[in-house]
This record gives sequence, C-alpha cells and structure tokens, in this order.
Amino acid sequence: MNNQKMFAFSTCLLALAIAGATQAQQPDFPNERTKPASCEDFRWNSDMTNDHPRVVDACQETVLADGVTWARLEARFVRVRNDGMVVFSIRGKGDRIIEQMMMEPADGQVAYINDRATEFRNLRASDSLDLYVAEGEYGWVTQPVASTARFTRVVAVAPDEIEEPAAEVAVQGRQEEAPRQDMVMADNRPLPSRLPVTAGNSYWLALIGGFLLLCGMGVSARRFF
Amino acid sequence: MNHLETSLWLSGLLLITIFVIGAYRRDLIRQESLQEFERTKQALSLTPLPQTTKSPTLPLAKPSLSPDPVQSEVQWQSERTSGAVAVLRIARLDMEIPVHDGTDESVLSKGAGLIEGTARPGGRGNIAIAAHRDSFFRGLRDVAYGDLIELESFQRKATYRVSALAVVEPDDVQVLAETGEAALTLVTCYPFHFVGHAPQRFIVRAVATDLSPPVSRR
Repeated sequence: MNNQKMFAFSTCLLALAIAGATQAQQPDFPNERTKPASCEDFRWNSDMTNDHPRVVDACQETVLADGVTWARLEARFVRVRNDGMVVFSIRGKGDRIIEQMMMEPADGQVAYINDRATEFRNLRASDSLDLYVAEGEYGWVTQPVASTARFTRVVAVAPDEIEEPAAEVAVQGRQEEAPRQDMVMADNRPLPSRLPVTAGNSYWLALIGGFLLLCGMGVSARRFF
Repeated sequence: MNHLETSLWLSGLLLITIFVIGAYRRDLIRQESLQEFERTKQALSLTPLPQTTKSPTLPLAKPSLSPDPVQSEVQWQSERTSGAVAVLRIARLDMEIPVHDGTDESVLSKGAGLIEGTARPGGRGNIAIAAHRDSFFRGLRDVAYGDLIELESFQRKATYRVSALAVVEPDDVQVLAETGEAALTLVTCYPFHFVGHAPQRFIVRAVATDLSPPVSRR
C-alpha cells in the first residue's frame, strides 16, 4: 500500500469516526416520523367515530411518537370563551370545515404555532395548529408526545348552556359589545375608505384580441385587392 | 401570408381564446363554489348534537360539537376561509353567484365578495357585496326597481327587494353605512362597458322583505 492509498484509507476512517461520534451525540428524543401507512389504516376509537363520523375525513397523516400512532388533524383557532373553553374548527382537505369543537385546556397546556408554544388566550383568529388523536383513544392533544399532565380536560356542554357566540369574549381577550341574534353581525374590520375596484381585465383581452384580428383581416384583405 | 399577417391573426385568436377560456373557467369555479356551499350547508344540518358526558378511555379533550347557536360561529369562521359563505340569487336576471369573504382580486375572480366591515349574511344590517361588472355582476345592468334578490347563508335565507339604484364616486363609502334596517347593497363598477378601471360605482340597494328564522339543526 503506497502513501496515497494509506492517506485515503485514513481519511475514510477519520470521516467514519467523526460521523459515528456525531450520531452518538444526537439527543435521544422521540422522533416524529410519518408512518408509511395512510390515514385509512388508522384505528379510530369507535365512540369517537360514532359521535363524530366526519373526523375521519380530517386526518392529514399518521405519525409515530414514543411507539404510539397518532392521527394528525389540522384546526383553526376561533376564540376563547368566557368560561375558558377554546373553540376550534377542524379542517379537512382543501381547508374545508369538518367540525367545530370546544375543549378546555389543562393548566399550562399550550398550542404550538409553527413549533412555538403559545398560550391559547394569545392565539389569533384563524391561527392554524395541529391536533393529535392517539390510536384507539377518544380525544386529542396538541403534541403527540404530551404527558398526561398536559392532556386537556373533557368538556361536555349541554346545548342550552351555550351562549350566543358573538356575545362572548372576543379573540385576544378583547371585550366587545354582545349583539343579540338578528342584530347587525358585522366583522371587526373597519369599513374600506374606497369602494372596491370591480373592473376585471377580461374586456381588455377581448378588445385587444378583436383589434388584432381586425388588423389581421385588413392585412389579408390588402393581399387580395 | 407574411409574418405580420400571421402574427396578427395568431395573437388575436390567442387573446380571444384566453377571453373565452377565462369566462368558461369562471363559470366552472362558480359552479364548484355553489356545490361546496351546498355541501357545507348539508354537513352543518346533518351534524349531530353534542353528546352528554361520556367516560373517555383517556383524560383527553373530547371533541364537543357546537349546537345550534354556535352555527353562526361556523359561518363566522368560514368567512375567513376560501369557501363561499352565502349565495346570491336574482331569479329574473338568472343570476346565482357564490359570495366569499373579502374583496381582493383572488376573491372576486371566483365570485362576489363581502365588503369588509359590513354586516354578515344571516344577520341584520347593511350587507354589502361587490363583484366584477364584466363577469358575475354583468347582469346588474338590467336590474330594475322591485326585483327580488335572495341571499342564502348557512343560517337563513333572506329576500330583498330592490329599492334604489345609484351611480356614485369610488370614495363614497356612505353607501356601506348602516341604514337602520336589514338591507343589501350590491356594488360594481360603472359604466358597465368601460374598458379598464371604471371611474364610478353602480349601487343597487335592496331592503329585506322576508328574513326567515335561522335554520336550526334537527
């Protein structure tokens, strides 16, 4: 073995040693990886699918965390109610609304917006977040590796206990006047300073296209006469 | 046929084709939005009422469906999505248009748009809706006093009667202000055949003649 080959062999060994050492220093955290199986193979809790058959359509993917399979759902935050319940709408493919639901977070439980822990009261309307359902379980958490201390408490609300939504605390704790049903339901955005521009550009296409065709006809006619 | 002649013919045909395809595509999007609205409405009406307390297998948050009063909240939420939140119909003019939330170009390319800050469909107040005068609101050039306009939201179906027609300047936002009654204000550009950004706005004001009670599930 000449010097060049020895050098190449040593370099390879050194690279392997560095890679091995780096790998060994990786923290042993529960890796969240997409399960090869699709949502169709996910084993839903039968009570959950009986009560909420459409939740199956909301499954975006399945993930493995700490040996448990979870279905990931996408939700949009709506608001926090006076009684602390958090209102979400579960989204399906194409951002369609699957169901609206409420839950009461446990103490210290947070939502994760772009991997950033955020208290529910600090969420903004339409913030998107992931919810996870454990295989065979009835309920969900905001992180697939949440400990039982971070599980949200079960909430059952009788229909007659629900207040008119517009009369409740608005998003981000802003207290707003509660409109009665059938009163003006305006959004919070201010009126625009100008009326919207509603002129499309299709007329331009037709006009210029027609003009070019006329010119083409003119040139063609000139050849014949 | 020389190059100039060929170019003129091809360019003209291309632009006319784009115009025709654009109109066809708009109609497809309109129909899809209408179907999506129907599906969402159907889903809301079929959604079961919340269950009473049930022992879960784990102390997880149990999904709790919103009962009837919260249905308006579903609509409120859906107004922040890409789906239609209402359908506008004028039977005499054979118009059926999905109404989305907002008035930016992406919204107005697929239907009519609810003008920000005005009343929401399903509630009382002045509901203002805008759309392109060269597509979805083209039919408004033939609207007449007394025409009936139907606005169907997830909550209710309301009928309005055209009570006023006006041409205003673009900064005349007084037409969006509350009128003290349930009203519907349609906004589009004017003149209808003006090429480019039309200098004025055509306003159709209609007042409610029939507000059906909110639709309740089951």
